[in-house]
Amino acid sequence: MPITSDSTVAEVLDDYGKITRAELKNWLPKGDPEDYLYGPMSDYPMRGGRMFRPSLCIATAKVFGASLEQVIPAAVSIELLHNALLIHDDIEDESDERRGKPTLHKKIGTPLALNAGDSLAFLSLRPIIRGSASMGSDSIVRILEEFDQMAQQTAEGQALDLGWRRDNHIELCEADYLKMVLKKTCWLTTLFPIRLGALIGSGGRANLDSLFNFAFFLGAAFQIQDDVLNLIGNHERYGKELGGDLLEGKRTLMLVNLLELSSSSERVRIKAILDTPRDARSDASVSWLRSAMIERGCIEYAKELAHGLAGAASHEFDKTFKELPESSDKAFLSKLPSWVIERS
Amino acid sequence: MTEQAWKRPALERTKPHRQLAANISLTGSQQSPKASHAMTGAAKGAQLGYEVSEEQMEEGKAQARFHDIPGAASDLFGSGFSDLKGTVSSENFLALSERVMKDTLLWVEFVARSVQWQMPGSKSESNETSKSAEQTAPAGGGGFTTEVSSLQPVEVTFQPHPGAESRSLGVHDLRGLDAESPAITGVEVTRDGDQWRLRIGIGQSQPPGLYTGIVFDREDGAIRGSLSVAVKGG
Repeated sequence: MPITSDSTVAEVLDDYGKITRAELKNWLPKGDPEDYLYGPMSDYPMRGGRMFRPSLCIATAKVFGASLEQVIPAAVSIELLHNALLIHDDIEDESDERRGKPTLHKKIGTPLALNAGDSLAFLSLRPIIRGSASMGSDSIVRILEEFDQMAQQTAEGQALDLGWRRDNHIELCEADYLKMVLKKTCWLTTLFPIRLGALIGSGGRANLDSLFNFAFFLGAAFQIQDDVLNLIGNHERYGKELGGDLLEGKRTLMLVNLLELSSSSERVRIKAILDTPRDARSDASVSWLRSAMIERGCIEYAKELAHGLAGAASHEFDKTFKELPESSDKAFLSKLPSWVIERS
Repeated sequence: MTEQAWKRPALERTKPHRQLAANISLTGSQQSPKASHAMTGAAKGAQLGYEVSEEQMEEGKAQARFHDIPGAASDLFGSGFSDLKGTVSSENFLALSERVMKDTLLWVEFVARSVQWQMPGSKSESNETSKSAEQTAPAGGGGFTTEVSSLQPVEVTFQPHPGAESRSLGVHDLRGLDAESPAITGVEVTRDGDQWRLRIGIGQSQPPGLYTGIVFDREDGAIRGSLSVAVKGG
């Protein structure tokens, strides 16, 4: 079914997702060592997923004037890199499930999973470099600069997330959380796809910085909703173990908020729970944390905050994209702020 | 969990205090936190988003300046105005103007803060032409001397942050509020023991105006103070 301005976000994601996945398959190597490398590399990309990042890149590029063919290689690169980082994230977070199945390291062991993730990350550059060859060397350099910037910011964000957990750091405020999310999530999820799409679509002439607020607010609302779903979502649809963030001691907005609202004795209790290794953390203590978040309104508060960010994203979209011609892709982008906070 | 615990005020932060966030109370003593959430969550989300965005923008600028990336004075992450290169459409001109305006406003804010933080004894004024002026500004255990070579009357204001004298310092080019004025370049920073000397040369053709630059740490890129030169002309 062709995409129109009336298409729902889910329909566009499905359409662009299928196109991206079909092309992505062509980039995944086959042959020996199939069991040890190429099979594991194909595992996550073939499990499905929303294809939010590549769709965002495709739609932005088309809004700025690119054809679908011009932007598909970039979309494939983004999805490959996303999957590479998921493998590493799952190891770092000691996660059990990904997209409804056991995580890769649980299936094949951490050393092989790490290696598959590395290989997928290196592979991710190939489509975008080959695809942009016709754009000239200046454009390739700029694309690589964007890639480099995103990689550095994402690594910094992940480092903050992991470091806060390792050191059991609880003296955090909401702005600290949001800054971590900007780096850890937004650069790869929204900023990079949108900037890359605009760069390709405009032939390098768009003011990429003017897209910052829209992309950041959209990505932050997306992450907060993801954190909420981790606590109260539908397991089948969510695809990961519910409450996994609590088991992993992740510094989510709800946890930061709960710490703010807690008495000193409660903070001591929360800190002790977070200090317990994941395997030793009891179901009862995780359940207590979850109940406390519900009872204190932390989940509702996080939803409210995500709504505010989504509203700001919508405002920034109207401001930034108003001069660009109306199209089905522009309509899709305009619907994203609502979609990120309504998805279940 | 008791009602008493609910009403306990939030602990004082040891992390960076953000004024905008602090202005929006989440735990008012007259309301339960839950009720407060419903009232302020969405507004705070948008507020926090813009606040963190602005903070990132300033950090990006400082980093870009530290690495001497061309065009960094008005860019977020180092791409400068290259994205507008070769285009002269009205849209691009407006975008360029907007960015210059934003940058200028940031500088105005910076200068305003500098005036507020000014340390006594850190000013050096030269109203004589073809002469150098020297002034020593004590800071902590060490000392700073500014030396100005100028054919025009100038007033120099140097504000090191506490502890700056023990760091490895550098000074960025001093830029004017008027984006078209050439920057004052080549400020020399030398150290002899615990004494620092800043040498500033002002050319005869330097347009009158206020020029400001950041004193930075060569090791970690952190801001360690500021240097302002008011060129009075004549």
